[in-house]
Amino acid sequence: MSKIDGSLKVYAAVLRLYPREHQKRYGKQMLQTVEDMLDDAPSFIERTTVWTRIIIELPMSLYTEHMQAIGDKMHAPKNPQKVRNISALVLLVLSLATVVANRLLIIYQGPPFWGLPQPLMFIAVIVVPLVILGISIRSLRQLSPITLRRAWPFVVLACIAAAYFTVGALDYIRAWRHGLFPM
Amino acid sequence: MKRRMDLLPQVSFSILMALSLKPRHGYEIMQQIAEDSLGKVKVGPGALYTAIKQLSKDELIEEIDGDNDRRRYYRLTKKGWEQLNSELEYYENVVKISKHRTAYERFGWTGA
Repeated sequence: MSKIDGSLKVYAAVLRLYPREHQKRYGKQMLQTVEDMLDDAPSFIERTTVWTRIIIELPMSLYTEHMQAIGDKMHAPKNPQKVRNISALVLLVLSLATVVANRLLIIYQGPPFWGLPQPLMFIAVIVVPLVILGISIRSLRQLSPITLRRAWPFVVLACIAAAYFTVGALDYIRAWRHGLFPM
Repeated sequence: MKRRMDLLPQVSFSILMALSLKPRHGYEIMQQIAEDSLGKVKVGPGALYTAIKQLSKDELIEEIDGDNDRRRYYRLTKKGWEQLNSELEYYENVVKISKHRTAYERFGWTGA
C-alpha cells in the first residue's frame, strides 16, 4: 500500500465525521480533491503542508456542516442567520456553564467542585471555551459586512458569551493562584 | 442592472471567479483560486465543498458530468453570471471611490 493510499484511508475515515447528507453528496468528490492535492505534493514537506491545511480547516468545516444540518432539520435551509444564532446560543450556554462551575469552585473554597486536577480543569475552563469562541469568531469573519449587520443577535450573543468567558477565565486564574486545584 | 443586496463571502466569490473561465472540478477550482489571489487565498476541501453546496443551492453554479463519479465539474449558471457581474461592478465602484479618496487626501484633489 502506497503512502498516498494510506493518507486517503485516513481522510476517508475523517469524512465520516461529516453529516450523512454531506458525505453522500460530496464525500467522493472531497476524497478525489484530496487525492489530487496529494498527487501534486510529491515531497514529504509538501504533503505535510497539505495535511496541515486540511487539519486546520477541519474543525471549522465540521462545525459549519453540522450547524447547517441542524438548520436544515429545523426547516431553515436558506436561513444561515438562524444557524448562527443557534450556534451563539450553544456558545452562550457553554460559557455560562464555565462561569457557574468557576463560581461554585470559588464559593466552596475547599476541594475543587469537580475534583478535577488542574490540567483537566484548564482544558475544561480555558481551552474548550476558547476553541468554541475562536470558531464563532471565524464564522463571524466569513460573513460579509451587509450580512453581518443583519446577524446582529448573533453579534450581541457572541459579545455576552465573550464577556462570560473572560469572567470564567479570571476565576480560573484566581483559583489557580490560591492553589485550589489538586495536583 | 439592479444590484442584489447581499455580497457573497470571499470563498464563494473566488469560486465564481474561478468558474468564469471554464467549467472546473474541485481541485482545479482550488488551484485557480490560489492563482487568482497570487497565493494569498488557499481553500481546503472542507471549505470548498461547503461553499460549493451553498452556491449550488442558490443556483449560482451547476454540476455537469465529469470523467468519473468522484470528479464532478461545475459551471456558472445564468444567475451565477449575473451575480458575478454585479459583485464585480460593486468592487469596481469601491476601487473607484477609494482611489478618489486617496487622491483627495494626498493632493486635495478629487479627480473630478
